[in-house]
Amino acid sequence: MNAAESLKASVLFSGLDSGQSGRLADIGRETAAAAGEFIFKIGTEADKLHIIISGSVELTFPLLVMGEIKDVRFQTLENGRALAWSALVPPHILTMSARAATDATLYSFTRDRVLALWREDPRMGLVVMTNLARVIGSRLHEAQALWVRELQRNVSETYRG
Amino acid sequence: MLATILIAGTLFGMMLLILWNGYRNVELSRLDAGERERPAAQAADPVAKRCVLCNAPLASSATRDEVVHELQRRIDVERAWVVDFLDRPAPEVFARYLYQGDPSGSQWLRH
Repeated sequence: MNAAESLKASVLFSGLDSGQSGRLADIGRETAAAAGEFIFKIGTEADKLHIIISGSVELTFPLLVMGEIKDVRFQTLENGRALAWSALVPPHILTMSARAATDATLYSFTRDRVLALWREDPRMGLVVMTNLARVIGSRLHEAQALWVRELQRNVSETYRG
Repeated sequence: MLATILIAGTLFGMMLLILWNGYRNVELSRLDAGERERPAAQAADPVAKRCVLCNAPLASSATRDEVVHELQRRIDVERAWVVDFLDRPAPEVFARYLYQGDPSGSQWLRH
């Protein structure tokens, strides 16, 4: 599978036609991350968007454990999933860190080049941003469900009827 | 007579002093040995895993890595529970199942 086909099969770029995914492939470049390597860190500026082509990547957040900050895995993502979508969403600040769980291959795009492409082809931007809204909506719903369940447990333990 | 009592008293006092000094030396040497051994013992087992009296597992027995591993396991379990059902339209009873673990809501899953 070439780069354009891999991108077309990804969650973020599904629905694009072959010409559009080809133009996307032209403005991106393949990068590699070794197992254990941090691809980006939480709180830093997101200026690049990544699609996982192979391998797996863990999203982590820092937690104080017994007096020491540790990176705790929230989710493991595999091929076809997007990383650092904050690059497309103001204020462009990364909300989690990403660490390669295995040797991984990514396809990376700088925000400026992606936005320039969408100015030429607004329909492509609409398709991708619709896909991105679905990704963000799922994350929000998931976080809400986890939060409400945690609250429910705390209420049940603190205020026994 | 008075001289005898004075000599006996002095000897008794000296005996008590020698005994106290000996006891103090023994205590100091035990303290020194403990101080020497403590860092090695802490390095070998930074956090005691079991109660030294009854051998019961302690609540804070885990190392940092063990805590992180357990947290990640719990997050995986919670996410698997939640993610399975998020994309389905659901009645209120399902919300009770999802958020509160109310088993009556699980009937919805069979439909």
